[in-house]
Amino acid sequence: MLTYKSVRDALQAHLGKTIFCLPSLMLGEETPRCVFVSEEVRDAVEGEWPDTREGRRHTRLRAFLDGFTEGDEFSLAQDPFDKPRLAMIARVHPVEAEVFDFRCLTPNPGMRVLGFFVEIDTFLALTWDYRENFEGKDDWSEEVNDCVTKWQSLFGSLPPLKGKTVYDYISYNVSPV
Amino acid sequence: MTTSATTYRLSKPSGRSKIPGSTLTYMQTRNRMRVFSLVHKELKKSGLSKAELADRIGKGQDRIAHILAAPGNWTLDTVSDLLFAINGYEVDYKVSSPLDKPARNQNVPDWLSAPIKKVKISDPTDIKVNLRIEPDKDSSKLVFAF
Repeated sequence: MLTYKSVRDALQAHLGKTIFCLPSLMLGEETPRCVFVSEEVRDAVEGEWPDTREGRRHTRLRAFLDGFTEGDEFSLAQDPFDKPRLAMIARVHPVEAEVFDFRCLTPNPGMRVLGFFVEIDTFLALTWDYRENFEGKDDWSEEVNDCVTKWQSLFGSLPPLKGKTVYDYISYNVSPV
Repeated sequence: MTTSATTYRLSKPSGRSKIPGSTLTYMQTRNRMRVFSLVHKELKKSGLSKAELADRIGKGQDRIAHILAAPGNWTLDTVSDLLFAINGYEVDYKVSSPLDKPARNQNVPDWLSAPIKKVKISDPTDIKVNLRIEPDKDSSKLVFAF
């Protein structure tokens, strides 16, 4: 595997091949933040979905991610064991892995996107699933490991962004919860 | 090669063509996110705490924290209550048409799209670096300053 000097270098090398930029569907607007997606996540949010329950779930997920890109307000919980049920972004246990969960909660039970902050205001979404597929699981170690493995296959030993406060991940329009 | 995942954009409604349900759903979520941002922006500007806001609305702090965590279940009444309680505000309705704006050509951040600048140096002896080394007042370390 190639090694890269920085996460930026690696991102640039993978861009358009295995990682894609996800611009807002409202392309006429400025986007102060950025979301990158894997092919897996791209397939979950790309395209015109049918007017079915499943279609509406995927469409809402896309709008949710576009809201992040466009600088909308997000609540972010850093403690996996002490967070409100409705937190919009939450760090997943173990916190050292720095895996974050983008929690699109409507329509209930919602969808989840897992990934990493590569820079401040820049999220890389690597995996996703329907919330009901997490039901009954005591922990998400399988999902976290999958996410970490995918990160390592792209970035080698380079670490994702590690922050102390929520403002190290999102510079503005963010509420710690 | 495209670096963007998206090859289409929403289209503006025209004539009597049925708007796809997914487009309406997208706009509904977008609207919720926007009003959620507005309420939080005004709450931060006001300096009001969540506890004070809870008192004003007559709800428990847990309930207000729950409401302010995400816009999923918000109604127009929720928005009205929150904005009025924050500072006697009401919503100032305006419309905009982002689809009328021209599409951006650039879909990746500047730092990814900007070419790396290469500088040709004819004579390496021309390179001058001003380096200052001084002790840090707060520690025993030396600080290198360029």
